[in-house]
Amino acid sequence: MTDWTDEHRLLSSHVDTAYYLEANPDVAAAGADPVAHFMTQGWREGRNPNPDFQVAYYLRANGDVAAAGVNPLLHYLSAGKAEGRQPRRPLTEERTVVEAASPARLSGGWDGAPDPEPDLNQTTLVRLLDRLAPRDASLIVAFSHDDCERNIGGVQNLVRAEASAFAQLGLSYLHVSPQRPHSFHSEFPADRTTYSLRLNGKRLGATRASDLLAALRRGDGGAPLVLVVHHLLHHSPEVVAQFTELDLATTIFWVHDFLSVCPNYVLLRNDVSFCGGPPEDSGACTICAYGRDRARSRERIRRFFAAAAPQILAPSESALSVWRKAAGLPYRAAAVQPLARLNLSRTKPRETPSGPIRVAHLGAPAMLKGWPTFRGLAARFADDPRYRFYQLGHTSGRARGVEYASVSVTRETPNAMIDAITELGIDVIVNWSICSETFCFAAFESLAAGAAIVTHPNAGNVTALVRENRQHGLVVDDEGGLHALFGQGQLAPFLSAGDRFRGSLIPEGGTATWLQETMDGRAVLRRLVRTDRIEAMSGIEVAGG
Amino acid sequence: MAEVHCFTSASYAYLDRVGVLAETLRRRHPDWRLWLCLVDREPPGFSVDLKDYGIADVVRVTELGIPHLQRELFTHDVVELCTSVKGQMLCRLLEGGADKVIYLDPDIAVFNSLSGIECGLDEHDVLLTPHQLQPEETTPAILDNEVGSLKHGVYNLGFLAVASTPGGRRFAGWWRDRLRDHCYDDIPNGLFTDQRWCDLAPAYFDGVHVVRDAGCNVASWNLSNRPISITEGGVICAGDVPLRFFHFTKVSGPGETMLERYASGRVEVFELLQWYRGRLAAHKVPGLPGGWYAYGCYDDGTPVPRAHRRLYRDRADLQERYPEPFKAGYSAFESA
Repeated sequence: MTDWTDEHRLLSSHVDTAYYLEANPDVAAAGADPVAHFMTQGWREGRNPNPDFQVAYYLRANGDVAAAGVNPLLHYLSAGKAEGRQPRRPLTEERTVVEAASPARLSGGWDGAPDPEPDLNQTTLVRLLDRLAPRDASLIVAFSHDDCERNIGGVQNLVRAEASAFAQLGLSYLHVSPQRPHSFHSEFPADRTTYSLRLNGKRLGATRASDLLAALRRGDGGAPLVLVVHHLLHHSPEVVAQFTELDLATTIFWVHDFLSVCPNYVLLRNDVSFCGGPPEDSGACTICAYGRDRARSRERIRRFFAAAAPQILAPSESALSVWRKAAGLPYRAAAVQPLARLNLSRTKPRETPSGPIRVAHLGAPAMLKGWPTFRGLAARFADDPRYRFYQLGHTSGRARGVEYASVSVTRETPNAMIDAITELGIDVIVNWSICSETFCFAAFESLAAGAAIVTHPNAGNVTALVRENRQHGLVVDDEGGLHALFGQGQLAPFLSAGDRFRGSLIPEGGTATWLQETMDGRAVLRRLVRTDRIEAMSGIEVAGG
Repeated sequence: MAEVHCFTSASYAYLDRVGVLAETLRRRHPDWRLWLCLVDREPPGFSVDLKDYGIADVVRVTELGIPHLQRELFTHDVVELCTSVKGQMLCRLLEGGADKVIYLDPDIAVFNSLSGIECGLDEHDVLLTPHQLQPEETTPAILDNEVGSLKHGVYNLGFLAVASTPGGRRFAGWWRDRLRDHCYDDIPNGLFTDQRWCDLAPAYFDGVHVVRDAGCNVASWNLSNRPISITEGGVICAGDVPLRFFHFTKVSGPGETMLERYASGRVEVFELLQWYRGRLAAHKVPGLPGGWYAYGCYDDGTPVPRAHRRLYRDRADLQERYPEPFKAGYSAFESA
């Protein structure tokens, strides 16, 4: 009896009852004492007593403990800890990601089925286009990886904004997306590829790529087209390359991510570490789950670029810099065209926090977005009265010491995140993205809400954004620096020192904005639109028009 | 340039590992010739084309000219037997005209060029890689790694390179002879298979050189001082130098725990491990019964206990009375 009582007493300070009951609803439903349950049967059933002790791992890694049949937590507390044994699988989150890394998972999967039959044949398509997008007017033909009216995301938002901006220029916008997803790139030729078409946002139907090619051959007197490739995911690069043979004013290729460098388009080796796209025959690519697919994908991408020699548009300097370094592909010229613009009110700075500093993670509780780092930070400072931790997003990470607020940014509520940051009085966003962000909307939303950003040196345009706006955030070297920042209380003086203003995020018109606002773009635009119209729409005087 | 012959030694159960060794070695050194000393016999009805596993040439244990073969097959367990044949195989390749011979354990994978090893044999007769190249600093690491080396041998014999020089051949002959009679896992009596013998080699032979390239033979026992990292250019490194070959010892069990202990909080070594497991799966040997080892059982399928092997080894009278120790049934050693 004494032994039982002693054990219960010892374990009661190590069994996290709230965690145990949440993780084991059957125990909660039975009204059992969590400590007693863990002691008598829980550990034998592989149930963990708290988030930091993994029963199954401890028994697997310590065969002597498993063979002795003793409670692994008791063993750890009485002997294992002093012997240097690990209570949980070291680096378990990172290793779980590595173990799950798979091209099939990232590519969205393809069931091997052929593309569906189209509902538009060539004759119908030609008739439709002749009526809706006459041959004597230029047409923008834009490719991306999905139907932008049915999905939401950075590329989808841009395509819609771009279509709208072109409409203002009087140009029609034909959006082309694969009717079905494929593994990275489709293997089908043009006459077996089915595209979904939208003209100026309205669905036209589905057509074979070969029929679309024929319909876009405009013949003598036809106005030139502009080919815009936002994404080659799920597309056959060879089929899209055939569109470069049409009468084009230019071909634009957007670097929204790094699919043209590697099928792992965020350049995360084994989904866990930013790799920057090293040589394909490097050791890194050899041991990467995407290495084999990369070799084949690159061959096809190279052929596409050789045919297209496109104008490159990247949403940020950091994206362009990574791409230039890693891609090794031929292109005509490259420029930066941001996806949105931050418009801050300079009249009234945001007030300095009076209570605890409110610190948040924005978005999904995903490794890619630095969730493990945030969770670790929150766990360490959960009981520190100087801070309160929040997660704002549509899926809760359920972490100790983190308050969750459900936020969904939709087409109808584009400012939902900015509003939530403001309403909750969030002072600081920890943006610890492990990939090099090309254009991180969350970072812009943070600034628009007047919150400061804490990030690291390799977060792509997030790092650049903070460095350009020193009063808006801090760049710390690593997680050690992050913990030191919080531990040493350096955030409070930083937040008091500089003014941060609230404002809004204004979407830009993508390719249309580039055509209107840059010298290279205007040179192309003059081939598409009458000069007086350009001047009227953009307010920019067109040199030599 | 002198022709380089590599060899490894394995039973069928390790053929998947041999496949990974062969594919990674071929990638870096397509002109090197890889031999397999096959310490096994096929299960009934099983066949495999070893060329599919990247093996140029195979020498079966039964072809090595080992005296009292049945006795040797019986008195050694699988690890002891696979290591005991290494000396014999080395001599065979040198006698066959190889200029340079490199032994690599089947559970090794090559990640960068081994040209430094090849060139090293122009200067030295024998190249050895120590388990550790620098002192440990923590008590657990001292106990695991340094005391481990004192028990198992200073040098890891997952790697050995020998030139066909007079000194190299003298070393090979000596090692072969010692392994023939004394290649057992018997740490209390100063033996650990083929390894501890090589502790004596630098004293006995002038031309023995200790390879100090930290990229060679990286494993859990030296990871504490050679954390795996990957450069911006995609080069896998051990400490500050390119990783040349990694020794995936016992990665299905205790080896992973040891990697965890010395991973220095870096995930890269687990990326290597995950990749290795994936390649093992790709080289899985179809149709091979689980745990197959032809010399692991008596003829009736009963596993041979270690105690039987030791008893038979130590008793000349039993060896004389039961010259075919694997036989089962009445008047066999199994039932004696």
